[in-house]
Amino acid sequence: MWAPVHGWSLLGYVAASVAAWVALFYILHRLPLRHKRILIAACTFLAGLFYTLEFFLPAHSRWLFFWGKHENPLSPLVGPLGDAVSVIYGFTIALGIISLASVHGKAIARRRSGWHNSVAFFAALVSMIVFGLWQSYVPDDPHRATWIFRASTVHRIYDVLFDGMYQPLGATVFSVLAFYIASAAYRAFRVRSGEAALMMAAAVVMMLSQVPVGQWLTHTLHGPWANLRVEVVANWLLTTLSSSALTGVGLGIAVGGLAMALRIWLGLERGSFFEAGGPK
Amino acid sequence: MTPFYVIAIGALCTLGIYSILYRENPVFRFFEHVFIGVAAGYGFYFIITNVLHPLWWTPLVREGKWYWAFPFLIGAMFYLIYSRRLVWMARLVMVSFMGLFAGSQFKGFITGYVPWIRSSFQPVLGPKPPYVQFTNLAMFITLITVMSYFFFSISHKNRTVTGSARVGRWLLMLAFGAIFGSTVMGRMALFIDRVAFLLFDFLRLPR
Amino acid sequence: MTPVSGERARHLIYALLGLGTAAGLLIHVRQPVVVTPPTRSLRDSIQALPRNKLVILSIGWDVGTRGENGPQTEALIEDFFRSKIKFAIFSFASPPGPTMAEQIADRLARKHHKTYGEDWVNWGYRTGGVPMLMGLAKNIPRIVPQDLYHTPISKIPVMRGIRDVHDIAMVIEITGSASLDPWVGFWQGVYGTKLGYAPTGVMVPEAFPYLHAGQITGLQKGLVGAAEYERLVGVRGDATRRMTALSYDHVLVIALIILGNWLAIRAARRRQEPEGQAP
Repeated sequence: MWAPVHGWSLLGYVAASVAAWVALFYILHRLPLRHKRILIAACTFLAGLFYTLEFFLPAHSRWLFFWGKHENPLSPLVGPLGDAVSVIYGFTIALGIISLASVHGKAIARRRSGWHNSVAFFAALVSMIVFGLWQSYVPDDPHRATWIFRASTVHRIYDVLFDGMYQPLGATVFSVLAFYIASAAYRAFRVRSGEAALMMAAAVVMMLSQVPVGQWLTHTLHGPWANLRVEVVANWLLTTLSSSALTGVGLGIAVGGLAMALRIWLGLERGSFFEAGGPK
Repeated sequence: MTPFYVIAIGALCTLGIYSILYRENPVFRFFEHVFIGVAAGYGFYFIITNVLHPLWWTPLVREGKWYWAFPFLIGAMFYLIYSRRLVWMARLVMVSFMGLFAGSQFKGFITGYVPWIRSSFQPVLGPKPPYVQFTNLAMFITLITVMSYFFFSISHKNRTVTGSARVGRWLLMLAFGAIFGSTVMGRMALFIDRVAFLLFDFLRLPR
Repeated sequence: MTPVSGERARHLIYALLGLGTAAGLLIHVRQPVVVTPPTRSLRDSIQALPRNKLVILSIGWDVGTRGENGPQTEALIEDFFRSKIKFAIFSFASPPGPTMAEQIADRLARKHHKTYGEDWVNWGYRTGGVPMLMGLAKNIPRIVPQDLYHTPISKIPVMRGIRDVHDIAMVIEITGSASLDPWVGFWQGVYGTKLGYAPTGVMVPEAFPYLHAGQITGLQKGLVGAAEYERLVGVRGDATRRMTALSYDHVLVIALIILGNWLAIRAARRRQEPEGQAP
């Protein structure tokens, strides 16, 4: 049954799979709301149970896995499941695009202020998709013609979109933060308490330790006094006090995350997202 | 070697975004929307060519593995979120994946965070140099006091707990200062990269 | 000294930052970078790797953090080429990451006369997060059936004999996001795979608990870490050349903090003084 098939057989098997899936969910859709909630909770629990059991059950056990090679039967499924999840996540890529297209489409339709920017958005989106797909499947060859462009032209247009627009725009948007940090350093960072002073002192030591000019300030310290060089002090700060403090914070976050994971897995989370009913 | 016209377009985009530093203006808004468009478009086409085509289309169509139709059907169910009647199916799939991820967190916690706990409790007495003993003690005290600061389920009326939480807050300030100092480096490095692009790649000044 | 009004102060600061950074890049001041223990530890662990296994260079950075992670990637690839370490570029956190890293690898390959497919491979980008990584550990060719150029993995010489996590010598995560945790939790913690880390500056302090717990063998601390690594490798790359500009920027920020606080204290004292008295 799982053997590969080709030609019309493949089409038949795929059509039958789709039909079976649609039929299954047609039946499930007719269930009352209460049963749908139970179904969602059950699927969530079973999905989480896979990795939990795969981890907590031993890899080998004669009395637990009394058949075959006495190996954990879930471990061989980890690979195929990873493969399948990778593909399923790939299919969700259009969700974000639909959302963006909806927002900008409405802006154009209703001629909202700045609607021409939404036109630019669609032009950029469509160009990147079209030329990205095109250049992926057509080799860069100046002598090869593809539809209205030469293959090399398609690649040049893609280079403009990726190297000329996407990379510079992305890098620049994030680099603007540097200006805001400098401006905030002058206008917002006020040392109004002992704690703030401690924080600023640590920040200044860190900043000086990171740059050669700061390292130069204390480079004349030798012998036991070399332990007071700014880069040594900063390294000690990072590896001891800061590391321990952030370990404490990280453990708190990890325990919180684990508690949240447990709540989701056991279906204890409430809210419209976790329930089968429609939007309230 | 990147052609100069590509670099020139990149410089135009860079300066267009930097125009926001003067004030809000239509040029910035235009380039902002272009960026969102190319970024979304890139993600879309790249996943088709690098994930869906090799991992789904090729096994299904070229290798005849018909059961790869099911991941498509599961993935398609995510789009039922746009249907009021069928949204529960989208929730079924989304929450199931959340459950799958939640199940993996036990392993992640034990393998990822238990070593943190183990490494935090180092001997403070014994045949180690005084500097190491002092460091181990300082780290232990830091961890305990910082965690006591975050224990909101215990009343902070007890003087020991209050004192511990205050010390923890002071030590946290050191950590936040270190984070701030590192953040400055991070942000400045991104800006330096852009200036280097404008000077050396666009204006062709000698490095 | 009279404080400059809001908008003008802002523009003045921006101008100081912009012009000073440009000057720092154009004026060559040779400033030796002090190599810190975490960077040295990373280099030592890379140099000790067996040459018959592959290193995964996990690209978690996007176009936004290219300014920091780009030089880090360049420093590492430079070291790999010089030390004849074969590596695979891969990403599960950033779709454009493998393409941008490939541009760097391509440029350095021409300098070192290296050949794609024999000295390195690019696995491209995969979705799926933790389940995908768990699957990758068990069977690499299944998760990565073809490379970035759509060539079947079985036809790439450097991938011969690479089947699962046990054929991987080390994973080095270069990232501007929290993409180290899956490697720690599902590769290093389970199989003991060596891990290296090259985060952006923002994430450097948060990396030290991993270093202290022995989960990562070494660390490249942002752009400065890249400069330290270049010094260890013996090259003068982009990271080293940007240290003067970085020094200026840091000194400017410190000066602005001090100036801002001094002006605020002065203004507060003026408000407290009784009216009629000279300042």
